[in-house]
Amino acid sequence: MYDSPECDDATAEALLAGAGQDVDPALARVLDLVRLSYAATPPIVGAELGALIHRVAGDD
Amino acid sequence: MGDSSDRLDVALRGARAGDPDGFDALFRAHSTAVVGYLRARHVSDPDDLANEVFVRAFRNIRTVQGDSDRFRSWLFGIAHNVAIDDGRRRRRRLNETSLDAHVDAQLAAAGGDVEAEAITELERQLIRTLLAGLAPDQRDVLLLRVFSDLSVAQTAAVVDKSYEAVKALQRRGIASLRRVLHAQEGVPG
Repeated sequence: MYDSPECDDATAEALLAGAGQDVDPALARVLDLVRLSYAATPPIVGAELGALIHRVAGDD
Repeated sequence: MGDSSDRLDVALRGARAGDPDGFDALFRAHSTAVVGYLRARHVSDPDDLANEVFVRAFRNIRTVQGDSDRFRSWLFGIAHNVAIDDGRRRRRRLNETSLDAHVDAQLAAAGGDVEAEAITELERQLIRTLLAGLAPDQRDVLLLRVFSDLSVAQTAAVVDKSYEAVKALQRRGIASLRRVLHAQEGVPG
């Protein structure tokens, strides 16, 4: 459990791998929120990329 | 993981041969992580820049050697450089006030689906505060690790720092997040 703001390599690795609930539940939850909020949807495909992957632009 | 890696190796071989299905499979596998990284870096137009990352990658795909794991590392290297270039351009244009407004707009835009809508305004503010409190090189390393699934060694190659330097940035970045988070929650530390 959390008892100090300092951080060792194992704690950092666990949190960054999405497996830090046992070492710091509050920060693990925040990092999950970061993933959820920013990577919830794929980018809209524009014309140039769509041509490369043979998709209509804007189609997911 | 093995099946996924094998499938992406096949997609990479196809893409190198010009097969649109190979490009499409690589895009499907990595696009949300790439755009998530760019959104978290608060670039000016994450969707547009994510397109730029994939167009650059796909047009130069024959220049990258190795397997799909190496491709992912190379792809995030492109995303990292695109974000740096965008930051330079924006620093010439934006003052801090408009940057804050832009960050709020980015987080609000990220709330466009059911999962993201579960994130409260307080949580959005908290994420913004935490990321803003990181030193730029700590933020770069933490966000690459959070979104890209790269190892420490791969991340070190992307940000052009040593393995030990990246580990130190991780430790300091996580410690910084913990200090701010637990100070807000009233936890002694």
